[in-house]
Amino acid sequence: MRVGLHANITARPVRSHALLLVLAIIGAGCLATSYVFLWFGIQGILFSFIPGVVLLLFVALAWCWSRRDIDWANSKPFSFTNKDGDTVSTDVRPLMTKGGAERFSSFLSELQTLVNRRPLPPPDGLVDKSGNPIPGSKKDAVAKIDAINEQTQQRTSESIEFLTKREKVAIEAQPSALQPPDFVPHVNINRLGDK
Amino acid sequence: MTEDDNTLRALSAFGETFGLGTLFQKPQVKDVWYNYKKVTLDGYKFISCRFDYCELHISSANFEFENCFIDQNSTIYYKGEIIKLIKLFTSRYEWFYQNLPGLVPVRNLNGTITIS
Repeated sequence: MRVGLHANITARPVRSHALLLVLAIIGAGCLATSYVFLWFGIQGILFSFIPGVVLLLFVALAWCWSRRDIDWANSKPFSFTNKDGDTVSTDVRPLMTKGGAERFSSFLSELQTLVNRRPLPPPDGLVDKSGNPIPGSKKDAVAKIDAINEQTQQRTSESIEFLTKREKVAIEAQPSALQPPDFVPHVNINRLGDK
Repeated sequence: MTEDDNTLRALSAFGETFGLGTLFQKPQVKDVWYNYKKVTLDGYKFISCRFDYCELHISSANFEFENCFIDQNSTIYYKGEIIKLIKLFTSRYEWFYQNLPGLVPVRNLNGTITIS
């Protein structure tokens, strides 16, 4: 009875590893040359031995540095989709580094706040340095908040549209009022905060 | 250069490239008075503002108050994940169990607490 085991092993360099393979072959050639020099007692062995060792060390280090990127070259994008269907995709490699997932989580938290941010309701006026409402200042206050809302809405829409490749997001405005005010209590903010 | 530095630089470059650095800066609302309004605080920085009889809604820690006044008649509504932090904090104080049962964790019979 004969038992045979056959295996075909194919080593195929991919992407920039082709350069490393060439350098490895050159390094191996240098070492082989130095071996021939040694075998025949030819002087000048170091001129081929040292470059061979240096090249092979460089190839080993470069392979270690690039191994992960090459391994993940065909990886699928890592995507997050929230309940509204907004999707953010990223390469998975940053998540594999130490602290990368935590930072990306923080990044997503910021992004989520961005999505959840609502335009401010129209204010009822401005306050003075003591924290008391300034009579007749409602118009100025509304203009100030309108400008903030417009700028924020524009930035948010552009960014979400860019990140999600979707149409502009319509953000629901906050209600304008709860109930009509009865009176305005008088306070002094400075007194509350001062030591 | 460590991998941490590389990741940080990558995210920073990502933010700068797409203008997210300025985007993540909270819009500043200064010297504004709200009366009987419902205001969602997330994502804003309020400076020297005043809130009377307001409903203040918050679902994250991404907000700032600087020299602001909130009157006693305003109500603050906590939503989302931030409620877990509050429940963890209040779990150490009996007063909250007696007076604010909605802001405390579930206390189990064996003395453990559940926050979910």
